[in-house]
Amino acid sequence: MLEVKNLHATVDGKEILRGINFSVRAGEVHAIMGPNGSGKSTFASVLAGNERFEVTDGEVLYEGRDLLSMSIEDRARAGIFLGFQYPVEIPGVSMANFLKVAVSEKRKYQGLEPLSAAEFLRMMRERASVVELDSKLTSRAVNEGFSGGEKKKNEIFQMAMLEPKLAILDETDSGLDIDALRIVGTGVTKLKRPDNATVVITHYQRLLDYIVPDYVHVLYKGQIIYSGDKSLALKLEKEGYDWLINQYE
Amino acid sequence: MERSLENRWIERYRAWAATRGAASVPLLEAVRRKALEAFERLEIPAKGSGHGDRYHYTDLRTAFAGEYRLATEAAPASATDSDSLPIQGHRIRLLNGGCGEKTLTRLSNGVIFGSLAAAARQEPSLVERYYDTLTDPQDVFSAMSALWMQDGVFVYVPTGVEEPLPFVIEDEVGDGGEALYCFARHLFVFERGSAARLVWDHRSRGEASTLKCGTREVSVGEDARIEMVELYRLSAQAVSVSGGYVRQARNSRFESLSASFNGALLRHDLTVMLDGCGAENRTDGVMLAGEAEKFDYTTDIRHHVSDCTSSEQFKSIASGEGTAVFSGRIYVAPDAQRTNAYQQNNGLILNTGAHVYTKPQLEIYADDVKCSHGATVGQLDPEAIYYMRQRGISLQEARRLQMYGFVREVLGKTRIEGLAEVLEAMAVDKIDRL
Ligand SMILES: Nc1ncnc2c1ncn2[C@@H]1O[C@H](COP(=O)(O)OP(=O)(O)OP(=O)(O)O)[C@@H](O)[C@H]1O
Ligand SMILES: [Mg+2]
Repeated sequence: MLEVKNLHATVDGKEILRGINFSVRAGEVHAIMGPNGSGKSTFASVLAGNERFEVTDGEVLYEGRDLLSMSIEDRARAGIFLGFQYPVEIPGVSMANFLKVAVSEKRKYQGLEPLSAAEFLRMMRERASVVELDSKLTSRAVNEGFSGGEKKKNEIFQMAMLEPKLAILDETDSGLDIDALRIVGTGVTKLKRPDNATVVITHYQRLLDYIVPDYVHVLYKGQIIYSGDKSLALKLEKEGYDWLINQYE
Repeated sequence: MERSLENRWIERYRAWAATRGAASVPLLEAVRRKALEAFERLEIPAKGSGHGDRYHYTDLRTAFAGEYRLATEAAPASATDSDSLPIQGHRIRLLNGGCGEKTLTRLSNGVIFGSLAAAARQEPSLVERYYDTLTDPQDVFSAMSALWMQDGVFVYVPTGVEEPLPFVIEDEVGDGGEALYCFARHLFVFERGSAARLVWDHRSRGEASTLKCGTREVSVGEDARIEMVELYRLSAQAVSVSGGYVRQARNSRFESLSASFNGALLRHDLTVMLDGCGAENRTDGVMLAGEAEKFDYTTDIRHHVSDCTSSEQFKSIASGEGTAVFSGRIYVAPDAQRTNAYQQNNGLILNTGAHVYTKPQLEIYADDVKCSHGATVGQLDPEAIYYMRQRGISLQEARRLQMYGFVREVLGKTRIEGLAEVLEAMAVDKIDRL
């Protein structure tokens, strides 16, 4: 599904990603861990197409297509979803309107008929319940005045609405209370299908109790320096990154 | 002072006066004579010229320098056309400042509406009580509009009457191919305890250059509840210079919303006199200026007595070489204690070359006053656009959503049935061209 080869990217001339190799097949769950500032969010942003970053080398194939030549919105319509570490507030734009446009643009891209108003409302209600999102929130402006945890739940709600093939969730667990963590974790698991894949970026093993990864990768200074199975996350939680970093340097 | 422009206008007036018949209404003629005297000593303001800084950003002198024909005879207004607003209401149709047949409509509840010229003839004592009582003698545009006016809108709602249907003023300017000036005076009288809603639709007929100059007086009686919404969708060659004087009595409420969508130069000058305790005023506006459009809304909210409330909210977006100006003066008289005055102006600039100016001016002479004002000027939020695009929304649609989201709060304030949807469609249409 996704094939990343030797990806290099810079921001303001400063190299952040320094040769990432990474591949994801349908049905898999990958976790990316790593110390603060190692480039995890940058990696996710580059995959999403954020124009702040410049790709200086390498290639990315998504379902056999050259992902890096696609616009941000086409990547999204083709099934890439980024759960933001810091979801953005959009004053004056209601959740309902925002999602209506997003869903219909995606359906248009897929050659599907637009949903009727009733179908759309039913879908909103149904998907909001996946993450137990308060229905009052869906009538407000996008993320405006949402609490930190509500914003994260809202990301998963949007994921449920857009049914991505490849979801990249950037620290969706941070800022969640214990119950919300469980709701979000099981919510993501409910959305899992054999033909989609999930990449979770996290600092903590506890999210991985719900979203059980097939692979765990450690990103450090813009490179994946180590990959393992889910037991790696447990080891990192106990021992930190020093042993890996020492080995690497 | 260099008066060649004013002198040219005076010559124009004398030439026109010589050709006019005697069948005029004494009351209007008396005000016309007074206006001529005033105009002989007033000047048409250039940019930045004095007048307490009222013309800081906008040059109106140049606008009056064209060699246009003066629209002196009120042409017949058109019947309903496809541009007509899909809003139910009592229609008042104006073309080039005149109501055509100069008729008045009287409803069984005592409401009178239609042509001001007709009202001055048929209801002289009523009109005399209010006409030209609120204008500022230093206001050259109110003098000019009184001098050349043939007609205008008249609306009268008697004591205690709550008129259920809105008044819809369809105000067209232009006349096929010819460039022209037109002037009008308008009078609105809302007696004690009355309630009414008005929609004023400013449109162009054809694409020729026009300059429309109008002054309205609005008298809001005790406990009256009035809402007025104005929309400007004039042609790219049309200039509008519009003055408003609103006087509010005790516990009255006057709410206005103006949407400036299209026009070469739209200048609004609003003076609100809060003359009765407990009066409430709300003045809101949206300006969407693209290409070389220039929209300027200047307000003067005058708290003359205690315990009044005023709030202003203006939102502007400018693109191309467009300019949006909001200047808001708030005056609080020495005895106007427990005044509550609020003013907010937010602007978005889409590119360099576009301008949004904001000029709050507070003059507060009382000590027990709550007064707040805030202004921001910014750009579209690239993070929000990125976020929307990441959800599959196109760049164009993301910009549109963000811009509409910005002005929606203001346009959504109207309670006139069906009007918010109309304003939304017009705003989105304009936003797509910004
Ligand atoms: N716009 C920018 N300008 C300059 N430096 C940037 C910019 N964006 C990111 N960086 C730098 O790139 C590096 C990687 O940042 P990134 O956000 O990808 O880290 P991260 O692994 O997600 O960290 P965290 O765990 O704290 O979320 C950091 O050193 C950061 O300061
Ligand atoms: Mg990060």
